[in-house]
Amino acid sequence: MAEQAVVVAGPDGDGQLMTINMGPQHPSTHGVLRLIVTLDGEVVVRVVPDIGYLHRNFEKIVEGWAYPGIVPFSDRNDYLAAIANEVAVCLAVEKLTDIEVPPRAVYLRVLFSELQRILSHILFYGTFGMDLGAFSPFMYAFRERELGYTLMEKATGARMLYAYNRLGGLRNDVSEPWLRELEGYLDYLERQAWPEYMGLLIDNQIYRERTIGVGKLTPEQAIAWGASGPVLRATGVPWDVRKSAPYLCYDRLEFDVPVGKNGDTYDSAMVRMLEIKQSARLIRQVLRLLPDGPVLAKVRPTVKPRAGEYYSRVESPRGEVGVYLVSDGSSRPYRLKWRAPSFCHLQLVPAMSEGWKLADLVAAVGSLDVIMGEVDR
Amino acid sequence: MSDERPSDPRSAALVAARAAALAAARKGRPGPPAGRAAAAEAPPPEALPPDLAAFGQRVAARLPDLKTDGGTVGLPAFRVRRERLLEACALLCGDPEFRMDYLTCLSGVDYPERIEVVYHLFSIPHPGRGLVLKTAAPKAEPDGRPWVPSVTAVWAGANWHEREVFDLLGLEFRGHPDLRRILLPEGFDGGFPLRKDFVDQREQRERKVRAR
Amino acid sequence: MNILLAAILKVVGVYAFVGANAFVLIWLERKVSAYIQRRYGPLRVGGPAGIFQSAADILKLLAKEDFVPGGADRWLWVLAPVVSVLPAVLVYLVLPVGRTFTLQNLNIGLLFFASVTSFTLLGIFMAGWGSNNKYSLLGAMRAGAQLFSYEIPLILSTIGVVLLSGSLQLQTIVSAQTQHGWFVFEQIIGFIVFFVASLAELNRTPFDLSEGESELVAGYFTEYSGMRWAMFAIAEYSNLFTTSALAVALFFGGWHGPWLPGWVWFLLKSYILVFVGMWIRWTLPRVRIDQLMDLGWKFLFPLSVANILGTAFVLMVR
Repeated sequence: MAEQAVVVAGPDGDGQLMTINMGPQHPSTHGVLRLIVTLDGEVVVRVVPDIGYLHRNFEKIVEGWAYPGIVPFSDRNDYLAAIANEVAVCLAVEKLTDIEVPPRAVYLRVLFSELQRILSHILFYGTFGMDLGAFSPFMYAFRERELGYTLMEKATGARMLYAYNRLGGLRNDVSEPWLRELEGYLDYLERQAWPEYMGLLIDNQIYRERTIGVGKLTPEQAIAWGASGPVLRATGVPWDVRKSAPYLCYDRLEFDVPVGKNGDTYDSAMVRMLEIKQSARLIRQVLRLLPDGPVLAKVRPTVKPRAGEYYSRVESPRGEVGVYLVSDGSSRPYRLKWRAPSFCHLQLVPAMSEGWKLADLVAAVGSLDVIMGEVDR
Repeated sequence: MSDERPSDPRSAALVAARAAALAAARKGRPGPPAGRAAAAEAPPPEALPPDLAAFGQRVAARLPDLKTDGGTVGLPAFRVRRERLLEACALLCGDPEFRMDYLTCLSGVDYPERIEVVYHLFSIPHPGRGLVLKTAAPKAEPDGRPWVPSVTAVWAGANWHEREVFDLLGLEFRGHPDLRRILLPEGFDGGFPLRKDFVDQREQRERKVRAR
Repeated sequence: MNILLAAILKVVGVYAFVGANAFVLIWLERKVSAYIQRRYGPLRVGGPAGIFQSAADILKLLAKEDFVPGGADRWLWVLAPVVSVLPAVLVYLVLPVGRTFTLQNLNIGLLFFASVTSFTLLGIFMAGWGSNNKYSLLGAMRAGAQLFSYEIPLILSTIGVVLLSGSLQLQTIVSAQTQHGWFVFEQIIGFIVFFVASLAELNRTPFDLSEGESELVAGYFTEYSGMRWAMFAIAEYSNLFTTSALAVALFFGGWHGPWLPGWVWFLLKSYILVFVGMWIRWTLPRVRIDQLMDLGWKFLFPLSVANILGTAFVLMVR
């Protein structure tokens, strides 16, 4: 590795500083992230994130693909909340092709997006606990996630990467028994799992001491660096794409947006825990308001959007996922740029952790809830 | 990690075959949308909602350097020359009338003669507002390196986005604090993958797939 | 001759027990952690409860490649596990197992225990430095600071018991509890300080920073594999047992109990405390190094000193 970057081996400075390499394979970092950390004892003097280990050139590949094929391929970006990715792509293409999505599909898309949000935040809870040294919450989180996977499998046929959205709606409808099962899952989550999570980790004194005041961000920093989602809301900025630029049918649904106060990792985690409850609330509304009808509009096999550009935005569990689509009127995109929230959040790591201890760096990176799949694409 | 040019003649033949196939595939396509020219031929885009349209007019009035750009659906779009880019961005971000303090997306798009940078701007205090700003760097530079000024001084979050555009498209951002490759390995000298004329120069092997 | 034979029997007996203890505790830890995490743990090896899982583990560890990491300080690195196991085994000498049965009833038993367990620190340092690995060094530094800081409240918390029983001899302390009642009721503060400090001494969560998996891979024993690593594990589980045994002897009446023979009560009570230690490990997150030091120096240390002063005052008044 030439040029600038950071010296990777050996002590530097006046011999007091030590540079260590965390990753890309490491039990804590969320995926293949490499952090080059310069330490003065336990204090982090400098941290440089190094990404690109999962770069699969998504944006170039889809330039040669027909639009219907891009939708399932986009699952692989944010693989923990795959439906959000599919919805982002579908919204962009459907807008430029003027496809009318049937109302039942619109509501079901909301339902699945919120279900994915719940599952993703549950996973965040587990991995965040593990970053802090608590091993049991991870197992508890996966118990609920397993139930969620089973639900998703019954509805879509897949557990994690779904290929469920199509241009014009969804691949298949969901059945009444499935909707009742989903309701039962939500009841179980709210009544039993959520209080268990809070009691096991969030209300724990050691957890609070490890997260309160750690990894603080000011609202100005968060906005300037392009943070979105729970990271931005933890600093106190009430910005949610579902409220600020409503898509699907969110403007017709009632929900609150949890907002933090201090911008530290405690608030970040708390915002996500409260969002689980809000997502459950949204799903229940959708269950009540779900209209009947088809779930897939009649779309020509060759999808040719009109020439033009569009930027579609979706609130994924990580933040704002954006798809900037440049179409030249043919059946393949001219340019598809994927705006990944985790990519923007990783820039914040130095600001959150320089001057703090190594353990705080781990907590800060964990609280950002990054997914390397969408950072590198 | 640098990439070797193919030494094996069979490999070089494969690379050449790929390049030829790429050129042939692009012949069949209608070609890139060329901004205003394409928009004039394309069906007129849907009208913006009234408050967004009014906002767009206010921006155009305040910043004469911005020219309206057609072809964008859903948001007012403007072009600006790269020499006036920083001024325009500073005004859009800092001026209390606009307060476009949230840069969500910075993209690079490769066109035959130029590389465009597209900025998607939003405003946290005014959620209804949005703006697309475009600037372009001609590829025909005396030293062959297209450039555009960096906006990291206005929006800190542009940092990694600009590095990504530099990495994948080869566009230099003047004034960037730390311009180096981000997704591809540091020593990658195989070109810029997102460019339309990119051909993978690395060692190629023929793969045989047997039907069973 | 008799002395020599007795000595050999004691040594063999201790090592046999250490081995058996490690065997059982590894399985117990896996089962306890599993049930706390709502899963089953070892299920196949040795019947439905997987009781021979430890045997399978040992066979696997024996089959691993034996190597010394490049650039490591050879003798330091190789001897570190030995230096870790030694104190773990030595302290069995003074444990008051039965009514009259102690391997070597030293009249400075408690002091012997305290001084020998300090050697664990040396083993950790040798491992961390000898590994020639930054993570190991960081882990060893953290462990060093932690063990050194928590030695003091650990020892001081036992002084209250010494004052009450008037002796450092562990058998005497236990006998005193048969008339006096278990010391845990009068020395509750001492017990709590002792228990928390011993968790820190054992490098167990919430104080397992030196092996903080999420941060340092495995800390000071990153570079060890196979039986060398198993030595560290044996030392850790042995220490877990002996610390619990000491706590039982000091605070819970040792072998005292109705109907059953003394050694059965001793083992029973010790293993209950071991179980509590495991329970805590799998429930709580990890503290940060500066929080750990704060807890040791600013809270436990003054508390243990206050305990001594309070106990002395009460004794004077009586």
